[in-house]
Amino acid sequence: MKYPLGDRVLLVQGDHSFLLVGRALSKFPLYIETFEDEYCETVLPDDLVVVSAPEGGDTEPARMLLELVRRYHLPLLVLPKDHPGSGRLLLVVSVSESLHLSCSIRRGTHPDQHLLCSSEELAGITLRGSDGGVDLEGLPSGVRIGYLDERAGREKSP
Amino acid sequence: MVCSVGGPMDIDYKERVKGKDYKCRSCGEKFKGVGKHPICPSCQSDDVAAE
Repeated sequence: MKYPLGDRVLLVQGDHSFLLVGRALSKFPLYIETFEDEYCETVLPDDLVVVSAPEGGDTEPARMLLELVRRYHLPLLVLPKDHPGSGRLLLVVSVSESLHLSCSIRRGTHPDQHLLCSSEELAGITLRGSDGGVDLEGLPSGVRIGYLDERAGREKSP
Repeated sequence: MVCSVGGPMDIDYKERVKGKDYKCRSCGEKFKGVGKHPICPSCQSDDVAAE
């Protein structure tokens, strides 16, 4: 199902976790910093910036992270595999034209932007950015979709 | 219902990231790019060449 975005942020909410989805809005080089090397990926306006909160919580820090990446081009830091800090990450972010959510990866350890850690309840969702919006596939039943009210940092009705 | 952070199914990312070495023809910056449309991270020119 397709949802228009423009510069708005879409909230995909399960019972215990959520995603925020926004367009990148502009073309820019995004640094991906790993333990071994530094990569540069070209981000296009219709690419998606997706923040996953596998344990849920307040949406405002997630919105701030999304904006830091898409408006201020914050580099993405990737932890080495088996790094103990992985378990402390309450938010993870990916930037890509399309990406798939999985609960079988370790948080913050994958530089491949086509894969993002999610909760089990949101795993399996595929997101594709196109024509100013996002296509969502594989949505589990019971998932709620809405747009974030940026002024309040809370959900508002579509 | 939270994401596993230590499950045995973790994917080995070393097999998934394939960066190429590029040099910008406009400013001489060298960088490792991923994706189909590399641009220079320094001057944002798309006039770059694979090394």
